[in-house]
Amino acid sequence: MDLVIAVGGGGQHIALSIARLLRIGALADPIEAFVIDADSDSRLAGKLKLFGNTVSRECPHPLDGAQTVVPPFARDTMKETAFRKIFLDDRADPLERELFELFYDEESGGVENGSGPMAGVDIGKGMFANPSVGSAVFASSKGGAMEPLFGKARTAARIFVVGSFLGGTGAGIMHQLIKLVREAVGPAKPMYGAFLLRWFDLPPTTGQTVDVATLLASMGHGLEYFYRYTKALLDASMLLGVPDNPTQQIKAVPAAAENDETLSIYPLLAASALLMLPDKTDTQARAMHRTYGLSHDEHDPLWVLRRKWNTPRGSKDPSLGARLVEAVVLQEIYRSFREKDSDFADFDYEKGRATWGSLIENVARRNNEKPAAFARRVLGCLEARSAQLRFVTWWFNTVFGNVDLSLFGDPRARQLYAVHRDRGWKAPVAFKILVDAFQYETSAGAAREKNRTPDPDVELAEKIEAALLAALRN
Amino acid sequence: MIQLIPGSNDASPTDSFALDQKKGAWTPAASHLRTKSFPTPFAQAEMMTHVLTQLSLDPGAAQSAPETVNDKLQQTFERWRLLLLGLVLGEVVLDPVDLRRNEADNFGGMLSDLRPECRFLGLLRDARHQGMEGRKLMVGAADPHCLLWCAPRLARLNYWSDLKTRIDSNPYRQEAYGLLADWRTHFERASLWNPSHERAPAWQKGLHTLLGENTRPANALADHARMVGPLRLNVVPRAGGDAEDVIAYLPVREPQWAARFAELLFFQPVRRDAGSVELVDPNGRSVVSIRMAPRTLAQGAHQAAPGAASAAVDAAPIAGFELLAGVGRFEALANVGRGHGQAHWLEDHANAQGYRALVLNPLMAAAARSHRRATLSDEDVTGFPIGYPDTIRLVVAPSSGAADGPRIMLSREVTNRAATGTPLPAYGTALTHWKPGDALPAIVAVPGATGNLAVGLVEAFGPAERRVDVGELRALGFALFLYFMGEAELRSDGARILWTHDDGKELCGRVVFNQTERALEVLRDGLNAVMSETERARCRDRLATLQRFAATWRSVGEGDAERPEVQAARLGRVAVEHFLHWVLGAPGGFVIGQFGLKAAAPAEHYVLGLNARLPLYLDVFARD
Repeated sequence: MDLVIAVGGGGQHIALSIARLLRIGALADPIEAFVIDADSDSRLAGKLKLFGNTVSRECPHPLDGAQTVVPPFARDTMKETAFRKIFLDDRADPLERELFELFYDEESGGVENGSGPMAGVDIGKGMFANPSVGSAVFASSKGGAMEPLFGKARTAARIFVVGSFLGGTGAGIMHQLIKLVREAVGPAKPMYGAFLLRWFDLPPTTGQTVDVATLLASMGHGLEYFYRYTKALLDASMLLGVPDNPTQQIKAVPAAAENDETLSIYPLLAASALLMLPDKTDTQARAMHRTYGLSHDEHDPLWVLRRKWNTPRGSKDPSLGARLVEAVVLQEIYRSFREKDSDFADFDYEKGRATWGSLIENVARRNNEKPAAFARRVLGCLEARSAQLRFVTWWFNTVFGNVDLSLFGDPRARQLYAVHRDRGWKAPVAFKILVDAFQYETSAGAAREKNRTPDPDVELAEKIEAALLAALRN
Repeated sequence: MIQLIPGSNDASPTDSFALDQKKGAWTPAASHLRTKSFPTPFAQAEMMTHVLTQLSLDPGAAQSAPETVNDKLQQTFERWRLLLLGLVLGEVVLDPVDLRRNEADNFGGMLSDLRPECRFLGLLRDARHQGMEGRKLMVGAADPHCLLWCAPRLARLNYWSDLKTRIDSNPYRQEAYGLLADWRTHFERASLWNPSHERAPAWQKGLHTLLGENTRPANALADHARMVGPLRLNVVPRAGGDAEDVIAYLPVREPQWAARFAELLFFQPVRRDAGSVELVDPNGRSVVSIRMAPRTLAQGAHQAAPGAASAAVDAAPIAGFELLAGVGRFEALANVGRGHGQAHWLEDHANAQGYRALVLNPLMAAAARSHRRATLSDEDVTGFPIGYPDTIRLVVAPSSGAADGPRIMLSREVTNRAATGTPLPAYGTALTHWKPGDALPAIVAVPGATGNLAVGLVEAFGPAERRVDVGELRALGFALFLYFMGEAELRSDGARILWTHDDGKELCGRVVFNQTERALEVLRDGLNAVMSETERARCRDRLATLQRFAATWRSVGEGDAERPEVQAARLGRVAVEHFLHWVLGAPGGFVIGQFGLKAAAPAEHYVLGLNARLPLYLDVFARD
């Protein structure tokens, strides 16, 4: 099991990308996430936790652990949320007060009995792009909320820490977190980092605590700190951000309103670190601690889709485009099943009863259900899975545009994608491949490790999808 | 291909590239430097490091001053300069604190957990301004990378302009620069000075900029500086390799500190408890305490808060951090001028251990652990003396004065003059180095000593404007003159020269003090005589005798300086010349001629030590 530790807003964006890539098979299981952010109720956090409202009994989250966002400190149990009061109470020794006021100015640390701006940062309301405060709060409560993380880190095969050097929470706790995790797992555990630099723009408003200059200051000073202290704790790392003269596709996008997901290519590129960094790390020379960047091919807008990602069993096309083609085709197939739901439930298609009909009937009987009713519940699960795929392909379409993927995929997938592209899709096409997929029923899906025991309908839907994918790839 | 990195306009031939160095374009513009953006509670130190790192080492280069475009910036090179000079000049004091002390509580513990290397934090306090609860105002702290950083809340107190006024008007500012140049020299000699290295610690860039190429070492660190600290400092060895931390002490200007310290060795070391050794005066009063082990009980941290609660220090291991934890540090330094005994306590006495056994050897062992060495030799200390507390440095590493001669012990007649406030001498001229014809030394080390310490005879000491006259050398010359005339003689046991023509007064001889014998001391009657104008006139009136006396001693003292008898003869010659200067310098004085009948050979000798015998000449016309 690999562990992805996603820190702050940037980390959640990358975690969302990882989940999307897992859902379409561009990354391989097993990967578990541990998500840390001060604001666990934001739209972004909600989108990650529910994978765009697609997580249900019928279709689990593609990224284990992403359903929970853990605050970096026990905010809910804190009596005081004023930063100053976390350390200084009425009985504090003068030496501790002197030290606190030596390390923090009035704006961050407030003054004794201060109110308003002179009370300092109220962490209950956020870190206000103040990484120096965030780091102290995190360091002072590391033994509480973060304790489960260290256990997971110790048992993980590899650890990936993802996030950004902008903002307050992620930028503030990232470095201390890496230090603590490294101390917990020891020097031998492979540990990598993927970090976003400037990748979005804030709207040009006035009077805000945080503006672009603030973000850039956090980025610059965070990088200074990274190169001095943090880099050497990681076996390899990746930095990504908007270059000085970007083309359209790699421009900084405006940050989404109300802390929602910001749609950009950068979180996807950061997720590629999960494959690239271990590949580039020489296990015989791990003390190198190298840091990498990625290049954008301005003459090939689809270069990301052409890159080699995970190669699923049976496929001869390891590109991200191939996995997207499969996702598009699967959605067409599931839509056909819905259109012909009676045919699907009654196995009223050629060889239907001899193939999936027989299997579904057996499972239904074992569960004391009528086959048609059980088949309808399986269809519901497939629709839920389709919704997840839609959440994935919607995101790619938004970032890359409605591009033609005809050149991607294994032959059968490519052929069906062409049918979809030509608007020639008919329901029998879906049932034909469903029947063809039955030959992979026993073998498909065995590779995936399960941490759960799904309901029979859910399990059968997963089996159907795995078999369909096998049919598309072989 | 375009590199997906802010600040990059580079084309890339490959789909990925290495970024092993931080890009300069990532550094925020001066107007956007923002201390709180550093992801650490040590953000102020990081910002000072950043500011110092931006300094240009090019001679004559105009330095950037980001504070001129960024009024929120508290860390500036100018304030760094003020803190450093303030520390050297005593306007700012270093107050080391263990962040694991109970008083530092959660905040101190958090800082210490984050950067264990900074557990022992050097706090900077203003020597004159009061801060919280009557304590000295906290104005900054130390850091391995930037050396010193500023407290961020002082600007509204107008503190920095006040400190600037005090520093820039300080008459000893140039001496402070000289001391810092001395300090830098020790890093250079240890091949640890590398400000132009790509990974050079920011503090070296700062100090290089502050001193420039033209600040000459004052060569005063050994004699006129008290060392405070220690501090952990980041360095890059010139021989290559990774950056590392060393432990070093910072100089504080204190004229004649080495001499004052030498006086401390006349106080008996006594172990009061396992954690400290006290140096006590003859009345048993403690003059100074030397910390020998880290405190097991924290005390109220500051003199201004004596009632602060004591509490146990966190039991986190301090092995290897002894010096940082305060081992070797002076505590409760009282008036060093307090009258001490005659005995020197470096070595053991018959019934009591000396400084070496009780203090120096254990401190050397602790320092070895702190410097990550198996053992520590005297050469290690002399090679990098700023790495050791004064309690080691000033015993092992010779001060510049020591180059002129050995360490001496002083008579009560000299030490009684400590009350004048003029620092007492610690070294005397070796008579192996002085030869006839050289300028007369005012302080000599009596030859024949068997230990590390010689008896010192002092004619006068102190700077010209505060010269303290003692007269021991001319008094010895006076005794030799009386012997020459036949008015004095060597007692039958050879231990004293008696003024037989004046009731057998004792002029000089052996004395035993604190069970230690001194080979030669000028006694009170001898000193009284050379303070008397009557005796001076009586001597001057014996011109012919003086001429023969001078002629006799003018032929003495040549030869192999390594031979003890030559050294002893030179002692006599120095004493005689001081005596003649005194006599001939009287009102209405005259010049003595280069003629006169010499005594052929000494009548007898006064034994100073093995083979070191002071010749006693008798005038050919002396009466029986």
